[in-house]
Amino acid sequence: MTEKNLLEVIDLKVEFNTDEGRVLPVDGVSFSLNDGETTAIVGESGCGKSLTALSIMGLIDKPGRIVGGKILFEGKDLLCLSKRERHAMRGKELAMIFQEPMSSLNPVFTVGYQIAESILLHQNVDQKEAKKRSIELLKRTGIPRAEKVFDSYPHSLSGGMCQRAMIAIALSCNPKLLIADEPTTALDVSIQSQILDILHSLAKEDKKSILLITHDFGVVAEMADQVVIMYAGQVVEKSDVFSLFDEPKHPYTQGLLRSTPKLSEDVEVLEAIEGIVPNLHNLPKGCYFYPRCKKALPVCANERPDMQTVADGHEVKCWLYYMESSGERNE
Amino acid sequence: MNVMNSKNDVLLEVRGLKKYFDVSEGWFKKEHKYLHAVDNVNLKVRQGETFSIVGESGCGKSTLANIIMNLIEPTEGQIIFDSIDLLTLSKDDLRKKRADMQMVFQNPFSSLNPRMRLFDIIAEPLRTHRNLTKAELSDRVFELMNIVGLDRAYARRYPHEFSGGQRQRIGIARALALNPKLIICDEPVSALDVSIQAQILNLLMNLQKQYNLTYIFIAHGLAVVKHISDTVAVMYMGKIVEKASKNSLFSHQYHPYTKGLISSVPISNPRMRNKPQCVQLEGELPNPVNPPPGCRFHTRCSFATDKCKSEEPALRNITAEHCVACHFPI
Ligand SMILES: Nc1ncnc2c1ncn2[C@@H]1O[C@H](COP(=O)(O)OP(=O)(O)OP(=O)(O)O)[C@@H](O)[C@H]1O
Ligand SMILES: Nc1ncnc2c1ncn2[C@@H]1O[C@H](COP(=O)(O)OP(=O)(O)OP(=O)(O)O)[C@@H](O)[C@H]1O
Ligand SMILES: [Mg+2]
Ligand SMILES: [Mg+2]
Repeated sequence: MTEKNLLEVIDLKVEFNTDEGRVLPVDGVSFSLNDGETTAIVGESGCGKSLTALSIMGLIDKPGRIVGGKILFEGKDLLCLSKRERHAMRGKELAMIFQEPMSSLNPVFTVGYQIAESILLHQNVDQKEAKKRSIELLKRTGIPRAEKVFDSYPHSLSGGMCQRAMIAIALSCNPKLLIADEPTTALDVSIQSQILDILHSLAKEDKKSILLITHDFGVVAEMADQVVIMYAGQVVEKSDVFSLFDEPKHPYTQGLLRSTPKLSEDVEVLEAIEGIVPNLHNLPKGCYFYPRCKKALPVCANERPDMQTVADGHEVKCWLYYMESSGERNE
Repeated sequence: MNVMNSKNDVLLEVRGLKKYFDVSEGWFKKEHKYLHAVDNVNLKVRQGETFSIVGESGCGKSTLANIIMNLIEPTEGQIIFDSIDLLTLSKDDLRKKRADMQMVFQNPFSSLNPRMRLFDIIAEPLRTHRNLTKAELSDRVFELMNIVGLDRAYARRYPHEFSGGQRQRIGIARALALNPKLIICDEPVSALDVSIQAQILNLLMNLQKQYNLTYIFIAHGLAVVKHISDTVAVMYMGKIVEKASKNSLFSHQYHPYTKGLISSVPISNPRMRNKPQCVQLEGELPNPVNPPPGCRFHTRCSFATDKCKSEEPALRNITAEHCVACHFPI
């Protein structure tokens, strides 16, 4: 495994100026993605996953604005590039697929036209070659009768087919990093598992680097090498996938894992996380998870914890682990 | 006085239920085309149990639920609820009987009137069906809010001021208002985050114990279904293809479709990654207007033979509590 950072996000901050005031839906997010690996960002609705992805793609729109941090791609800070340079990177170096496959394809053009156009834009080939490559890509995503689908309009295809076509477009210029924002959330389990298989073979056989956004721990368990857990705009835990499932540290991560029903085990009563995600306009004074936390200490009410390293490659933002690292714990 | 029903009494029975939607195109409808959304469904739901219906999008789950709720008219069939054949009732009697059945919907936002305050949303069914004094009404509404865990300070708020999980609680409070016997939950947790999903599942299970409720639970999340159900029916293109007690279904699947559905569920721990998959569901649902002849699943089934392409398998019992519609059960 090459341990080279392809992507490094450092202290990223995204601000929104709303009628009710300014909020930071992405508040100091840091993580990295090794070349050839899959990093999953996990968290509940509204925690800032999509905004983080859009920041990397350079697609944050008004009223949103990046107000701090760095996004290093192969060592280069994307936030220092001109609009034109960023545009040139999209498709070629970075590509993204979205949750709603239907609405991210252009309804006016055939699927084939949209893939071929992307190839013609970034590669020096003629129409005929572009068509040939498009059909190969459609086949690569497991589409039967790719020639027919090439000439179809998005509305005549199912959600699963559209998502495959989106993947084909994303792959059309052989990007170094593929960002997949909840690529299977809108699909049935059977289709979800087919799409995950495609992503899986891209990751394992083609050694593609993938940033995978999801709120489903099943998808994480199938796909991820590294996991980043987000809560209310912040990263609260980071780990490799095995230690995360074996020993989740943050009470939020523990709660999420326990509240997910599993086919492989039976429990009488699910352990729910009480309460709801805080409103960004009215965040708790101390740890953002404090009002819902079953293990809270007095300090949690008033002060925000920093990221602590609890094991090799495993970091957590929680007061519970300050005691351990500063005190008796012997390594 | 009503004698308390035991768990083996059938509360709802559906016989030969069909719903064919007319999807003919063109002005003169020269060629009549029908979509067989629900095609000859038979089922019995026992008092106090949770009967789940699972299957891919478009297999007819909501249509079946809506027919039982009398929200759409069936093309054919009988619905016997609480020993009464609903389709033979007069409009007025039906309206009264319907109060015993309530529904909780998937999208808690679109199912609540955005211009009504929380109090009125929960009070509405009580105002239509019960003759309560003002004081009785507000007592009952606050009682219901308390039961589902909504703070009474929220009574004057509008739906948009609530989170998804809170809106689902409002939907449940409203469904409970008339002390129904049956609640049909159409994907009640699909739109919710896992932490909130667990809160709502726990609430539904507690209410069931407390009020001896019967649930029909529609979902496509199989792990959720395994957690909450007593009986599970698997639908494919309008038909029930397998039906069993929860334990029997999750320990052995006789239908290749059910087996495929269950093996498509993502693993719950990365240490299970190298486990071989038994049956992978290939392909997608065929066009429901022209369903395949014979067994409707044969186009996606790796075990299909000539018989499957021509002869439709009937739903038959393999054990007392497990039945399957497949010529060659696995
Ligand atoms: N255009 C906008 N104006 C104001 N707030 C916004 C806007 N877009 C996003 N937000 C807020 O930013 C926060 C993070 O949004 P984001 O879309 O990144 O969440 P997410 O983690 O992707 O959630 P989901 O799982 O629902 O997709 C949310 O609280 C959202 O309300
Ligand atoms: N009013 C209608 N007119 C024509 N076709 C309809 C109508 N309502 C539903 N259908 C079709 O009937 C079939 C069953 O739909 P239904 O909504 O019952 O599926 P479902 O199992 O609830 O799916 P989902 O999981 O997506 O909610 C689908 O093919 C659908 O397109
Ligand atoms: Mg998102
Ligand atoms: Mg439905």
